[in-house]
Amino acid sequence: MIKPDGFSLMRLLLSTFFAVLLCSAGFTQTNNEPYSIHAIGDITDNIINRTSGMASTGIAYRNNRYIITNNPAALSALDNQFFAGEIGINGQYIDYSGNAVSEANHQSSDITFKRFALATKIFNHWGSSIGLVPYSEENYEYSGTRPIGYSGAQIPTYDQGYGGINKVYWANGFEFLNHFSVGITTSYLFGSINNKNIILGQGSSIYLSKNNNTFFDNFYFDYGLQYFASINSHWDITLGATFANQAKLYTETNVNVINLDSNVLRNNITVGTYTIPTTYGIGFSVTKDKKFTLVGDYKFQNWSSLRTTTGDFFYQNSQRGSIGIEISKKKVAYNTLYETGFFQAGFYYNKTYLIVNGTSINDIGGSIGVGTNSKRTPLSLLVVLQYGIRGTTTNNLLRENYVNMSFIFSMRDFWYTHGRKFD
Amino acid sequence: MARKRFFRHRPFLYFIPLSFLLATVACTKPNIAFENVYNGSNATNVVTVDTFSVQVSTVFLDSFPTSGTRAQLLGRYIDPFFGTITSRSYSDIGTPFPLPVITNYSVYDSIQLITRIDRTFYGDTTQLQRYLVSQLTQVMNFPTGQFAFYNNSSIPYNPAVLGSADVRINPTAGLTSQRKGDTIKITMPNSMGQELFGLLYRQPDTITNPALFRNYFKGLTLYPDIATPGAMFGFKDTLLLRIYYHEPGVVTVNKTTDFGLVNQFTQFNQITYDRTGTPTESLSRLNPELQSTASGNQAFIQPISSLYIKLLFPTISNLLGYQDYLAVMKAVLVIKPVQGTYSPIYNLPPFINLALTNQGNNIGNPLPFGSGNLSIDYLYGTNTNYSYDITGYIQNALTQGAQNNAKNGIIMTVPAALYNTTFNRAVIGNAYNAQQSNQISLNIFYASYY
Repeated sequence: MIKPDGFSLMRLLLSTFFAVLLCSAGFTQTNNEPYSIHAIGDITDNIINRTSGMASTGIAYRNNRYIITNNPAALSALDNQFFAGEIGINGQYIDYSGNAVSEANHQSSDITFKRFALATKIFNHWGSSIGLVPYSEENYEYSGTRPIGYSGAQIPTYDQGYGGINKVYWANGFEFLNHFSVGITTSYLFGSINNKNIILGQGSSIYLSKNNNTFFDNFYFDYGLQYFASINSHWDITLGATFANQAKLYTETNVNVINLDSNVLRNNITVGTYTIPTTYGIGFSVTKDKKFTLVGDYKFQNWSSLRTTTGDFFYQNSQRGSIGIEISKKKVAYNTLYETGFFQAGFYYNKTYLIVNGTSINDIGGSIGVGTNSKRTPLSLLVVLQYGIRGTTTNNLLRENYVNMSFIFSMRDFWYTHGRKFD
Repeated sequence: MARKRFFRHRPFLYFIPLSFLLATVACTKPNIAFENVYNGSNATNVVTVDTFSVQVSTVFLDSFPTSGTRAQLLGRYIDPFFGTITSRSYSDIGTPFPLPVITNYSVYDSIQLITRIDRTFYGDTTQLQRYLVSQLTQVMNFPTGQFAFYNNSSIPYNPAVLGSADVRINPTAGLTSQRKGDTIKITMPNSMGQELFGLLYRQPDTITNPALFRNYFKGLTLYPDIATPGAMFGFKDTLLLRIYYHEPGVVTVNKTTDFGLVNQFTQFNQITYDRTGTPTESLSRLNPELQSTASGNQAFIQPISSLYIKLLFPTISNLLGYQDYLAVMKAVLVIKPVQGTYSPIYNLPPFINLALTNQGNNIGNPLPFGSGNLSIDYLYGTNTNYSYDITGYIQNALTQGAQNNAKNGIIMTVPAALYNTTFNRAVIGNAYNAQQSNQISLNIFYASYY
């Protein structure tokens, strides 16, 4: 007996997901991200969702099928009585360049699970989503040398870091007055970042390994607002804004130093806080004939209000500007406008929150995406190709030329199995 | 039918192998060296301290071998810090080999002592030097139980001066004022020449048996005239007595025969010094240590006149009490000669080595990396220094405790090939020296927990 399509495909979707995840787990090495050594690592700006093909531009983007969490206010646009699930997987290839990079070995690639989200409409005007995404990621490993005071001598060093801050969220969007939607995301940020620094002394008789394991956690709230309207029968417009107030993450830091004989020379546990500064963003979206969409975002985070404890880097206000276009192919089925596929392209310029060696670390790139919605099944797939350049080779820094290939698998099904209710 | 549709409507399935491909491509991290400008906030802090005291003293070490160095050191010079230094040479003279055939017709002409400079020097070379020669009255045999002659050894000699020469030496050019190249010739008395010539003619056992000749002739000592102090010069140990004679005939044939140096291992230099009126006056065998704080916050090293410098680090173990202390990563000792105490005439030792020492001021094993090269700043004098990496020593001293560090330390020496043949010396400043830029410093770079 052949099982109904929906059930069978869901099983396939999950099988695919776990197959790739297992495969990823089998190759646990992930890309070296040198700049992630600083602060809380690389802050995840690349949201692996429907907006990925538009350079993650989505503060003013609304979609009835996909889970858009760029602005929680967009969740109110989800179709009623549907239950949606999405996973995002990202494969990344990086080519490093710079004075310090080995000529023989300067490339790496990985594939990692990036996002899991579920969403539904709780009521007609209330969309809700839960999910798990990375907030920041840290992953680096390298050998180098470090000067000893002003003696002119150098000691060999080895640095390794991994971990990151995860974000479990519950986002809600409420539509009101037919043209407005307001959203709130309640997140719980948690995760540990592990840094290891090994230095070797004169004659290799000295070996010190300093291990810094910091656990972060706290609740985090961000808010969104959207105004959407049809100007006429051809043009639709959406304006959006997001805001998150300054928040503190509780930290518990365990620092220990061990020597060559694995004797613990020092061990200290301290508690404190780490501040995530105020964030806001604004965006617009213009759609013609429900087919051509132009989106634009600007995001700002007030990192320069923070002070660093080391002179190796400084915070600066992070700013990200991005634009994107989308061409949506739709047709009418059963008296309903139905999207069969879409094409996206986008461009972004991201001034990250780091100044290293007196140089702002910037990230610039573009993306294209192609998506298809299965006509007979509740499945959708979006494949995004992104190319970007982060950093620079000046001032003894590194440049990463990277290519991301992202896969967003989406599945939705009726929330109520007894049929769709037409409003 | 259903299975056929299964593939047609599931385009994502084509991406499954692509996903696997992405996952299985070489996931290797590049070997990136971040040089020294790219440290994260977790980097272990390395802190510098230079406040640990170095106790500096001048120590007098008794005797050291000066025989068999292949160099005669001759001269006398006056050093404002180390006194009047004098060196004389003792040499054992043997018979010619093979013995020449002297006939009834052979006619003795003259005898000269010939020696050659080896171009080393110390002091003011512009002064006229007078060298004197006397004959030993005792055979140059090592005293019982000894296998060398020492800087303070001496052999009795007849004070009668057999010959002398006044010369001005240009050591760098390898020339002397006698215009015989790098050779100095001292005319010896004809009585000695004729006596030796007669022996060669008669060829008794005294001349044919080397042992008997040693007992007969004993040897020679060369020494500077105390009235003409100037510089110390090095000479090759191959001095010889040359007898000039001729064979008359239709054509006169001039001939020579040489009584050269034998038993090179016994040739030695006697170093004497008179430190009266200098800061090092009080040092002697009975008073072998002089704290730098009692000698103008200076210490003095000149191994050939028995002066060395001892360094103690009595408070170094206090570092273990620092709350943030983890480990010593590097320790650098910088020793600075005091400005104005050295010059192109009073040269500094090109190398000063460090060795372990103890309460008895014995010279122990050399320190690894304990060889300090000299960097001279004649212009300003503030950057002239010897620099040492004494990391290993400090790391070990920390484990030895304060009691040990109060008596055991480091002694400064010059390398073996130089310590008993060169007169280079240094006056170094301690941590309280009036010239701050000339103070000794110990910089410890330690890994800090904070």
